[in-house]
Parts: sequence; structure tokens; C-alpha cells
Amino acid sequence: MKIQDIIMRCAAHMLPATQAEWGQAMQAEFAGITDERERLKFAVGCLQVSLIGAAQTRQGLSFIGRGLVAIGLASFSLYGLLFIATQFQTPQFTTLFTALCFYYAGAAGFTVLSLKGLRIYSSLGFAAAIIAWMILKLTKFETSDISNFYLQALSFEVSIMTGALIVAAIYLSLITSRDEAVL
Amino acid sequence: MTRYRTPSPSTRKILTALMTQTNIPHYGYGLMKETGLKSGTLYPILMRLTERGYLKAEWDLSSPTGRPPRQHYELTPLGINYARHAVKPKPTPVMWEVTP
Repeated sequence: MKIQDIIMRCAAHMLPATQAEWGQAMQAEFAGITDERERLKFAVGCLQVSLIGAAQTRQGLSFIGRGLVAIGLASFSLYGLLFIATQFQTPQFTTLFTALCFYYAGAAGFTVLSLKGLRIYSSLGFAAAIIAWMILKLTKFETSDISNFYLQALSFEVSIMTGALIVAAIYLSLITSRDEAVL
Repeated sequence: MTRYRTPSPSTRKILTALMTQTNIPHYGYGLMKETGLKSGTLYPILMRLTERGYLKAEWDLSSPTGRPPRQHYELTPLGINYARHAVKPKPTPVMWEVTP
């Protein structure tokens, strides 16, 4: 299956239920186009129509929001694992950073599977990061490889990220739980 | 007298295409070719015109085997009135002749 076929399928699938017939009409036109470049252009245009249409319904908005958050988190953790975690010279830094990347990958999974799960998961992460930050600030703890300053900065960054995730999870839950209606 | 909203240039292009050849069925891709619009512009306009009752969308069940039925578009009587109003050329502004 070519990329244009996948895009067209997505476009037809993402249209709101009230416009499903238009999706069929678009697919029928698409089936008759022979030039591959034209097919791609047509499919991309239809996807644009679907995204705009979907964004006007709560369900569609929630779907797009969840997708964007999940893609953002997944790419963040993948990039971190492949290009940042491997660059550290010290094993402690690598372990800490790898654990963080896995944490964000888990958050991406929860975003797709369960928003309630994401709320709990990010709340736990937020609480852990805040407690760690307070302990680090009070005790001035540091390891042989990582200074107290870096540990504090890292825990602060995690608390900001997880805080943003909690807000995103609450917002997405709110728009998902309401009945589907045009905004 | 019915008052119509001034349509966008893209809508005007579609209405012109639908008005010029009323005896042949108009399909989505054909309209794209005729008007030079992209599918991302064409379909929202077709949807809007249909919603407002200016356009009638009908399934063409005589499509060749192995191909899904296509939808063709036709202006309704209300749509014809609207199109006439929309594609009507605007009067050119009068230029006053200034004599020295």
C-alpha cells in the first residue's frame, strides 16, 4: 500500500460521522486518478478537509490532541534514547537519562490507551520529582559523577514536564467526556 | 428580494463551472481540473453549498465494475439563482472626466 492510499484512508476515516458520505465521494474520485503525484496531492487535500472537520467536533479535537501529545512524547523519548543517552561518558548519567526516556515513553503509551492512567502516571511522576527536588535542595546530595546542581535541575525539569502532562490529561479528559457536539 | 452573501473567488469559480455546462454531470476531480482548485479547497465549498441547499449531490450508480460509485453535483433551482447573482460581473466604476 502506497503512502497516498494510507493518507486517503486516514482522511476518509477521520471525517466526522455527519460527513461520512463525503468521505466515500472523495475515495471514489481518488480511485479514478491514475497519476501518482495527482493522487498524493488529492489525498493530502482530503486529509486537510478531514482534519479541519474533525477539529470542529469534541471527539475529533480530543483525537488530534491525544495524537499530538503521544507523538511528541514518543519522539522526545526516542530521540533522548538514541542521541542523548548514548553521548554521556558516565554510566550514572546514562542510567538516569535512560530511565527518564522510558518514563516519557510510558506516558506516550498511557496517552493512547487511557487518559485516567496518564493522569495517575504523571501525578506520580510529578510527586516524585517534587519530593526529589526538595530532598536534593535540603541535603545537597550528589553522586561521584553528577553534581547536586544537575540533579536539582533535572528534577525541576521533570516536575515541569509532568505538571504539563497532568494539565494535558485533565483537558483531554474534559473534552472527551462530553457528548460529541460541534464546538 | 433575496439577498445573498458575496461568495469567495473559489466559490465563484465552482459556480461558474457548474453553470457553464449544465447538461453534463460534474464530478469532484473534474471540477478540480476545471477550476484549478485543490481538493482541500473544493470539498469544503461543495459541502457548504450542499448544506445551504444550493447544490444537489447524487450517487452515480453506473460506475464501471470494480470502482466505487461516484458522486456528481448539480445546482438546485435556488443554487442557479445564487450562481447567477454570484457570477454576475460587477459594474465598472464610473470615472469622472476631468477637464482643465
